[in-house]
Amino acid sequence: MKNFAFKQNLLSRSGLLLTSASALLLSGCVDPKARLHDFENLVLDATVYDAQIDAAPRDVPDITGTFYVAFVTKGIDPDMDHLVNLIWTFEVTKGPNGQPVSLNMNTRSLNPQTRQPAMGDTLVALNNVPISPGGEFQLDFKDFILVADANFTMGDLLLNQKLNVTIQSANVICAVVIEGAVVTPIPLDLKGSSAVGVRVPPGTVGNQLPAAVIECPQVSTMPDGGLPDGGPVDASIDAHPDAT
Amino acid sequence: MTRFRTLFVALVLVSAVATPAHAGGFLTALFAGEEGHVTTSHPSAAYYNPAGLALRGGNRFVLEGSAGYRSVGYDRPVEAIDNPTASANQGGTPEDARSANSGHAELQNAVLVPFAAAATDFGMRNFGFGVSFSVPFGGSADFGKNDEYAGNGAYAGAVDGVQRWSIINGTVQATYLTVAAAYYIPALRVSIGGGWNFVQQKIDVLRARNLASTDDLIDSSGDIVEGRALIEATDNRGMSFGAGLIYEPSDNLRLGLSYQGQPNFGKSTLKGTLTSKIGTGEETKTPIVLEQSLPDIIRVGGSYRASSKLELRAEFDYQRWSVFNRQCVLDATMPERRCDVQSNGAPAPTGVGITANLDRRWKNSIALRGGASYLLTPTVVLMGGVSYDANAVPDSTLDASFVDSNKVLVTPEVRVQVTPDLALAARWTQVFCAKRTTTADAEATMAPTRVPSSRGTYTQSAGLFTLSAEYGF
Repeated sequence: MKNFAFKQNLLSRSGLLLTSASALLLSGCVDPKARLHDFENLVLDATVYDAQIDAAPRDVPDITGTFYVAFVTKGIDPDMDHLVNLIWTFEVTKGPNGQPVSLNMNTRSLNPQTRQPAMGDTLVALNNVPISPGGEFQLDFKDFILVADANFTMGDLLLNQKLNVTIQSANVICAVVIEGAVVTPIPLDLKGSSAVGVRVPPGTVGNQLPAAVIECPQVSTMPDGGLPDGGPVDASIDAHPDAT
Repeated sequence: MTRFRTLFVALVLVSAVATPAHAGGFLTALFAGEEGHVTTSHPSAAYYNPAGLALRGGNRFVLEGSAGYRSVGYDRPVEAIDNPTASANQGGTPEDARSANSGHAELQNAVLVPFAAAATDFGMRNFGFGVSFSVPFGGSADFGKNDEYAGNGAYAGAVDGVQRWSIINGTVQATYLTVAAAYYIPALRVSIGGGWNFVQQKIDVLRARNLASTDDLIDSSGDIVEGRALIEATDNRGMSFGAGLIYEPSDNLRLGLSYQGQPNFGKSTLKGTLTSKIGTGEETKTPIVLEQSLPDIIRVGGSYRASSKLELRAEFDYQRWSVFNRQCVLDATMPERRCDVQSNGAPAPTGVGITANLDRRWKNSIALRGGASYLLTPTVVLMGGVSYDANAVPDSTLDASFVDSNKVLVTPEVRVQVTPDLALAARWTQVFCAKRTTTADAEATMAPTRVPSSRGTYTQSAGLFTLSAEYGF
């Protein structure tokens, strides 16, 4: 009986030792994390964006009205299938000197193929957003849902993002994401994503919208969205988002 | 018959969920060599057919170590590139970076595989009990680098080779700790056995990906869009069962039948983390679960003692690989997650929280095996076997993470009884794999299932030297 117990004990101990040793043998060589870190070290560090509202004071145009916005997600090729198409509507409040000082805005999402209002989309509004003397403002979207019909992943995206927006002219705005990420279904850093908005007549959708503009245009080439300019395009652009 | 199956290695996927590929995996399931079969009384019967444990008494302990190589070659044609462009300002894969997404990739890996088993009758007649530790599924893969792009920051990911959209490196494996018992019924000349497996599944796979699920390197601004997805997931609580019987119609003949069930009796859920790094964006981590199903296996065969010196063996295995239809990565933070996808790869209306879906669509396969043992002297036995193992991976989903093809295995082995208690065995297993060239792309074209094309030409070979010691007392 004693011998039997010894054998049992031997078997048990041997099994434990072998299990441990085998695990070491099998797991020792391949290191995916090391290859991941190699990649990360090789890729340039993410561009650092100026999150400050610090452009020099200037005459800031009034952007009250409707803008067609094409949003380019950092890391995704900006073809029409992968753009996020939005309609932003602004209502500007002016100060005593006639300079815009704040705005209310709302955003709607469009289907990327038809550019008609996306199914399931709900209006999101931001109010009392201050505008700097340099014509910059920040839009901070929290728990924003970009519905499946408005993005190429075919699923709803929950995201948070803060954009630094520069008023380029009465008809053009440029924006860059200074912080934020898609939260679900897959974490995705949005920092460095960009958007350009061009003025369109209220209610314009579908084929009536102009072509998407994906790079912040030079003053001389700014599209006007088909609207009369109401005068020459504004003064020089002194507050380009760093990323564009 | 997993032991002949070029199983895994890679992924991925994955997509992400990725996957490793076949990787050295099939070698790890070759344990016990010519003594591991459906009618064996060797301690490896705990896995191959528990009924065999009751056919030999005493106490036996087996320790086995294998070392070898595995090589894989993959040639990706230019036609596989999603968006070949003329210049960098057009994004995609520019002309000057064609070799980043087409050309040759190679894997040259060493393989180390352990196996251990013990069997005893506890002093009881017609009874057998066994324990074994084995790796019937999987292995590791580590593809070589494309030195042409070493240090290249403009196309930062290209250094990891043209196969990187399927796998860069990683491990996919299932390890079994098996406890089995058997009883021989003399009146019926039948032995019946059953075993319980404690199964650990592990997937650590790194692969390249971008947000559009293409193989684009850069966007039209010249910014890097290529990234990496690392899936690390395990299931330490898996279980499965095996059972079998052996019938001895005469003193010279044994007929065996065994069934090795699916881990977790069907779908397995591995828990872990997905680490993503896309272009210059920040690295993100998210908790995930990975769902997959590994096959069950039916073995049937016989052994015949033609003379006092010669034994002949034959076996047929049926491997139900069709259950390995996908590896689905889901967001673990979503309690209502559900991997329902349409045939085009897009989420079904009931699909929730699908982060990536690696389409596999494997098919059932078979293996045939013939072997013989010859008693050269009272202490020396020569053994040998030839096996045919059929391919399980369709052209449309064949990728570098799981390279499979029809193959032939040849195993010469010698066993020497060194002392009355101790026997040593040595064998070489050479695996000859058919070359495969695929021109088809995956049927799933929509996110989250779409992956860059893995069409191309695949070659593979492997060899494994094994030393085994069996101690009886």
